[in-house]
Amino acid sequence: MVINTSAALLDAIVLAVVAREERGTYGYKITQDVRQVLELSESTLYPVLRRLQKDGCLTVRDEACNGRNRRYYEVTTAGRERLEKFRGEWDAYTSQINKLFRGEL
Amino acid sequence: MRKYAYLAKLEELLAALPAQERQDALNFYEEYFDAAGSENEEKTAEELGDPAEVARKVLEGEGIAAPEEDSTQPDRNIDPPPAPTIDAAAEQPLPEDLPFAVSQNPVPETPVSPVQTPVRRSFSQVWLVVGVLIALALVIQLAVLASTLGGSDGEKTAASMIDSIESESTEAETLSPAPVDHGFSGSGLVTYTADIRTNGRGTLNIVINSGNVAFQTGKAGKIEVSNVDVSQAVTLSKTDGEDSFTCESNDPATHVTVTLPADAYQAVNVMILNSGAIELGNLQAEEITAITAEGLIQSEQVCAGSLALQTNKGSIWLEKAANGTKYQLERVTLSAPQGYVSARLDAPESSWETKITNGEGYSRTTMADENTETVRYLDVQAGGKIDLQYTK
Repeated sequence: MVINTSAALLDAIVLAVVAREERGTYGYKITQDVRQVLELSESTLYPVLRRLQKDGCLTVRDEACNGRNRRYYEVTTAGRERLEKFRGEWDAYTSQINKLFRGEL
Repeated sequence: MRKYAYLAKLEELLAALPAQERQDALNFYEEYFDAAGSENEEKTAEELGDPAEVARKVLEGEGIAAPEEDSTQPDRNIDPPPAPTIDAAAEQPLPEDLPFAVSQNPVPETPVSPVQTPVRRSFSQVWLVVGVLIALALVIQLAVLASTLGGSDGEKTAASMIDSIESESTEAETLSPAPVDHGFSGSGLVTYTADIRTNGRGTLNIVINSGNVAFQTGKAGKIEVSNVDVSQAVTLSKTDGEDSFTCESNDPATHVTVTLPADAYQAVNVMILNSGAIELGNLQAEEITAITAEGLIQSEQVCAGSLALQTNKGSIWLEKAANGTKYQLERVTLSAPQGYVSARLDAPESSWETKITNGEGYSRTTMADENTETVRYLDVQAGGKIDLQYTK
């Protein structure tokens, strides 16, 4: 694919994936979900989750699952605000580009 | 690579991170392996990709420059060697009745309410648990180990190796760091580099106090030390039959990279006195001895006639041990009294005379098949799980 995914876009995609789950979701599932919409190396996700966590967009909690720990990620209010802001920008951006490509501009 | 080998490698590569952040990353990837299923460990490791690449991304994410060993080195062969082909028959799991399995579930399987946050288990704690379980047996293990090593003739023992190193280093001159001249300009990581000969004879001894030692294959013989100020601590002595390199730095970040062509020396000995991992890579030498007081010993495909690996506190992961061009793999000693041992041996199981024990009370000796031309000797001691595979 010739179109690169910027760090900001990747952040937003991850936020959108996590935001779908009310009680949060875990690393492996996030990776699989993101990979359904985007070709992405499996090793890319951890740094993104760390970054979003540091920025206060995600919170984590640990739960036991089959005798092991599993870390759940949940989107915070700040995370939802950032996602909304990005969504707005994305709509404006894509609609302009789409118009151009369709010869409407 | 299996889960624990992968995580151990990652742990080593993330040494530059603060403990908590390193643990978070290791937990993430351990969880990832667990969620992907224990039957898919090899596949998951492949999907995650080279641990060096994973580590690089994690370190970058935490604002730490990745260590030099990743891919910045121009002459380093980045491509992994072809996966060892193991005959399907040799892949069969060990019989059910072997008490090899170590519980990988030290946390009891009780439902936990969301309020109660379980204590996250550190990856290294898994080995610690194993270590504690066998603590009593260890004393016996060490006694057995000493007698075994001392009793096998023709093999260099840990004790004799220390002796030869100590007598050697008294005559060694202290070298000042040589200028770096191999494409690392600006990195500032390599602090010492020296050429070593590669005429196929004699012995190379590498002895360091703390840090990691990694071998890689290359045309010219070279020793590089990085990540630490070694100007006062490094010696390299060259005599007719023996080249001895020592680094007395106690900094665990010390990293020694040894580049050698195949069979550059007849014998290669590595010893880490305090703590550190040994990566043998694709080393080829007729006699290979690698000993660390604490840390992982691992390899890609090593070729040797005699291979002796010992880690007093850590595990051994041998991707493959095979014959060399001029010698047969005849003697393998793997000793990890507090860890796991995983090895693939490129010779039929029937050609081995084996002695295998672990800290959980398992003990087995087998004789080689009567019709075997070359009888090979295998001695394995582990604290916990032992995973051995043979080719046909």
